[in-house]
Amino acid sequence: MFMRKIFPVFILCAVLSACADPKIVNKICLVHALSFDTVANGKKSTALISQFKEKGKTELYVLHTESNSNLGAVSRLNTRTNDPLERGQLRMALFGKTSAEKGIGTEIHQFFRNPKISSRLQLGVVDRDASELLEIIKKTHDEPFFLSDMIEQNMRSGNLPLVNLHVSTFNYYGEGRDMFLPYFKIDHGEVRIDGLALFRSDKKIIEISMKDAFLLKMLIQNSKNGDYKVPVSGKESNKQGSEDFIVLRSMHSKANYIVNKVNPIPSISIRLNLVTELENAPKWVDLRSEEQLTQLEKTMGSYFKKEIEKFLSLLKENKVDPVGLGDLVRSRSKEWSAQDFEKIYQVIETSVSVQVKIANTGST
Amino acid sequence: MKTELKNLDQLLKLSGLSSDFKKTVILLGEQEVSIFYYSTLIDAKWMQQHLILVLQNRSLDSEIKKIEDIKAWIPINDIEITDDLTNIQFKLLKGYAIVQLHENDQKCALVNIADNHGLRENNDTENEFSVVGPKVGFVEDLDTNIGLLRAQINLPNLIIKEIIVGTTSKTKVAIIYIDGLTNEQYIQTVEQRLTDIDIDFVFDSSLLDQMMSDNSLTPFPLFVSTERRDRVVYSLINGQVAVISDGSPYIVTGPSTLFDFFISAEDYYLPWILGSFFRLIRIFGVIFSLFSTSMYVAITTFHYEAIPKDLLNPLIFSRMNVPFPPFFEVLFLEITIEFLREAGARLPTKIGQTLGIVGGIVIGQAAVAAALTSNILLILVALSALASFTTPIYKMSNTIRFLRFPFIILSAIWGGIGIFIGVGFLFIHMIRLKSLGAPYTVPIFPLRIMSFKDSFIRSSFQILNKRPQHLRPKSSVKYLPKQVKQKNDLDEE
Repeated sequence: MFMRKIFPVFILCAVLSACADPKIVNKICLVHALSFDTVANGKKSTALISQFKEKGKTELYVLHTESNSNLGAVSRLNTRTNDPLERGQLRMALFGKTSAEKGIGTEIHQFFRNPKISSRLQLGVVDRDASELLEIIKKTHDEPFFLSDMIEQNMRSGNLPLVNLHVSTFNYYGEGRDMFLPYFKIDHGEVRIDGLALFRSDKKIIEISMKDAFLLKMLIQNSKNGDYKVPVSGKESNKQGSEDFIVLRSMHSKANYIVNKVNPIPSISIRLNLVTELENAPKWVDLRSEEQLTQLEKTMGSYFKKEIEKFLSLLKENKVDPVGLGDLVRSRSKEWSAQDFEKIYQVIETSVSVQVKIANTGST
Repeated sequence: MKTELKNLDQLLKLSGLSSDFKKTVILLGEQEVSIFYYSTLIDAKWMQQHLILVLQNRSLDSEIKKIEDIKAWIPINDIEITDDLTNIQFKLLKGYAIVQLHENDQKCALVNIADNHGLRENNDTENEFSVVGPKVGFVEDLDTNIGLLRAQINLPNLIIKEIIVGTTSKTKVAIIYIDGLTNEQYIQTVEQRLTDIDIDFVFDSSLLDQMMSDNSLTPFPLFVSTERRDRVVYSLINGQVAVISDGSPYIVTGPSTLFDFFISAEDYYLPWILGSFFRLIRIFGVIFSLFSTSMYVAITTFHYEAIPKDLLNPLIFSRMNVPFPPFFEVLFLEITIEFLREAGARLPTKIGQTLGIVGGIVIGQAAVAAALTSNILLILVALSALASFTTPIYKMSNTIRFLRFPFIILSAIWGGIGIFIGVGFLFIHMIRLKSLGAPYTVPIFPLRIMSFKDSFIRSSFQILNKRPQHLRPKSSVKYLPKQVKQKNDLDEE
């Protein structure tokens, strides 16, 4: 009785589902990074693939293909390898400067749709052709995850705000906010992260420096571990032209947004709390004196206020909204529309107040 | 566990429920003298020579008038004349014989003819070790085993019911339980199932286990069988029934739950934090042992995207020269391990050790060197074999080793989804299982929150003062929690 019931179930399971298509891990060719460029006669896709030859060492290869569209690039590249190319271990997608300026919506949509692609995939923009960057990685490092590790490391212990495919699709598809991606620069054959590329919809508009990236990080999340340099002038160094710097490291920060008014022109006040640790201070500052530290906190606060206001006006000027002010206003008003807000984005009132606290003065 | 007894007759009647409680009547002149004793606790030869023979010889030339005379008659030092019922009960269960002059006499003589509680020279546990705690195990002799149990459970309510099973072997089988504590439903079920058995030969109690079990279409053992005395005593005082057959050092206890198989007696001898920790380690070991190799097959065959990036290189490198798909690779190693275990169990001890070296080092190293398996898999298979042996009950570790194979096959066909299909089937099967009509997966299904105290973790003795309610004992309180660890400092008095 039992067997009579259970046997057809097994048979049906086996017949109806058949076997899944196996992709044995050493019989496939893993794509670790992809890049998309716009060239004179269409689009160029480049893939960074790896082959594991000996223990702890990876050999990298770069494959190119050119066509009128980026779609199906991997299947075109398949004609050049002995094992099938698989995108499941893709950790980095790069866009060339021209390609990013023309729009990267199709590629993001393609990544977003594919369940094999990790939502922690890192996206990035390069200041020239992205394929060049992959060639440099292949030449100088034999580490397939070099670029994504570099970005992640900078998010954890640097000035980059948290960004990956997950965050970027939220920023891209979400109303009232815009996407931002890490921006790579190639200098004398070396790669570095130069800051952030800010997008409006899927088109790159401007790029900002790492210094401004810290301000953005502070505005949208906890800026733990970010570094910043604040110029100070003290009594003893009042000589003309000489300026001293304080290097601070953020231990914790929190931004509070208050929407004072929505109609007709929204007004938002931003209150920032920043707890810092002094990495470096000029010699004349007595770190044991309460008064001087309070004085320093005030100077730093007003400096941050100035910088953030400058940064916000830069964003308004370029009509990009990585902070998500539009989304903030949308959450407070019933009749919000993206088109209307875009028109008034440049004139919305923002006031910033920054409260800095020095929690730790020792150098670490 | 206390029973209120009013007089000696009640005690004798209650004790009479057990089949090892004996009454001998001897005739001294005109007088019929009754001697009561537990045959499993006394030394029969000693009783014959120094009690019965002496009484009979003396009665030839003089007559016994009152019970006190016995003291002068019998050449045994430890004789007590008393009518204190508690004392009589205590001494009776320690192997004393009761000599009663007339029927319904309240005053009787307690004669010490106790055996050394059936302890033979070599009855250490052979397969279930513990570092802390007693090492007393059962032997092949039924009476010795019952004596071992009686020596620890000082209760007249410890009932031993003997029945004969086996048309050819006529094996003595004893059902052991505590009267007034164990739920009668279980006792009746066991008794009925044992009497219904129609088999020619009973070699071992594990045969009874299979005959009694509620479902024979399962790889899971439905009863705990153990050779440790402390384990059986603990299950008896919790309200379980034990079954033992003559000629078997294993006692079957039931109804059991899935968690009983992962409980070691040592958990109770260690502080509860450590006991709980080791129990959790054991449960983790089982899960690891069940799923590690099938996960390896699923991930390397289908879900390469789930490999963490730091593991990618070592994993691919170790599999680089292996010509088989992961499924055959795993099957090859798993079967090798099963060969080793099976051969090791059959071989004499000394050769067995050599085999371990041959198997472990030579085959393991050579298989990797010959690129038949990857060394990561070798580690996984060895670890999962090791983890399957952490289970204290051997029958359960067999089950776990067996269950690995369906999972490996499922993962080779459908990958991770296959494993989940397998887990689904396994869960459905487990929650349908019953042991003596009681659910097998209690306290998880049906959910019994109070029984969690002694399942995944072993709580402290202050909390474990009640018997597990899922066993439906007739009295639930074991002791009062406040008095367990009552401590008085000297200056507090």
